[in-house]
Amino acid sequence: MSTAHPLLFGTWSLYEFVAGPLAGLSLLLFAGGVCFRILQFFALTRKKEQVRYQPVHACYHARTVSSPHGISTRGMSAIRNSILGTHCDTTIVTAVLHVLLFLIPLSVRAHTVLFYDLWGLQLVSVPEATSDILTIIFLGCAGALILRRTMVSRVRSISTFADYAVWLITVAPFVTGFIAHQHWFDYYSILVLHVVSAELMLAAIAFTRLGHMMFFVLSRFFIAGEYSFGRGSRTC
Amino acid sequence: MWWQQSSKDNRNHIEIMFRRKQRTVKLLSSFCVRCGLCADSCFLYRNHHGDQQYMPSYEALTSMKALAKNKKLISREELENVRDLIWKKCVLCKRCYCPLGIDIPSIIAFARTICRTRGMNGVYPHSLGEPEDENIGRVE
Repeated sequence: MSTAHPLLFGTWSLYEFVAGPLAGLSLLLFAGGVCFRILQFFALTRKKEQVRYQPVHACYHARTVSSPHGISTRGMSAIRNSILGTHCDTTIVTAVLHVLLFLIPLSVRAHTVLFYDLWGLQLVSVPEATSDILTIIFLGCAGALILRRTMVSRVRSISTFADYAVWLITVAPFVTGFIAHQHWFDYYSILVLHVVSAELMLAAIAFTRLGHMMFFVLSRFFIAGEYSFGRGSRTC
Repeated sequence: MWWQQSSKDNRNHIEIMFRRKQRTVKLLSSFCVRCGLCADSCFLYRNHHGDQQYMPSYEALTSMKALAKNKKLISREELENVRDLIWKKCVLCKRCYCPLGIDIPSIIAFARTICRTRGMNGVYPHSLGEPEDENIGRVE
């Protein structure tokens, strides 16, 4: 790579620079930023006073009526009133997008080879055709979400430039990666763009709205509330 | 009363209050991804046929944006706009649901606290003698 392209940064070619020191910087920003945000979360929240409630009487559970399909009516009612029940399409699209957001970068063959060369990590890779299909599904989900942001008035009313920028930062590595894999346009330029966009996303996680990645886990498990997943030991 | 206090005192009061809770509220609102999924958990939003001003995240974000931006030189008119948003369009029933776990009621409650320091107490449509919205509760 370095022999085919002019040296731009001392003895490094552009690719070597973005895949070397720039990648290290973005990983440092990601790790440091995530640690800072987690510490900030615990510094700004405080321990909640423990309140012990009377246990729910057993007869309350006994009154639960089961449907012929084996799912309790109380459970069905809970699902109907949840976001899955009220916004089924958005929930499915969002869930698929977030799963693929983690799955694709860790399972693409080119990445698993890179991880093995760099750190000796042996991750399971999926066939290239499968990773192509997964990327297309991811881009479809991302397209659906940006359409929702622009078409649904209530979402549009609270959207700012930052929301569109964050969407672009998230989608860019997948678009450039797909184009690079298909060898469309100039491979070298697209590859550099792919690496830079991925590094930008990593660096932006802790400092933009992409931080909901760790905030979601912290708030839903640690902050006590009606909708928290666990009991919650902290309060705002 | 607010009109007996000097404007400088009021500004200082707001500054102190902001410093106390600003960082927490900033953290909460900075991770809002503006998904709009909190809307349907609000009965006022549903009763007003999807008027975005009744959406919990709209009220929280708009009021905090106005108060944070103009905390030093906020005009009475701007404060009244915020008051209309967080009192007339929200009853603080704390039923709003955020998929990310953002405590929206605490942001609105904080905005109300700041308004109170300027003598802006809760005003509801019936207390002003305004007619009730004819569209409320109408089933299409």
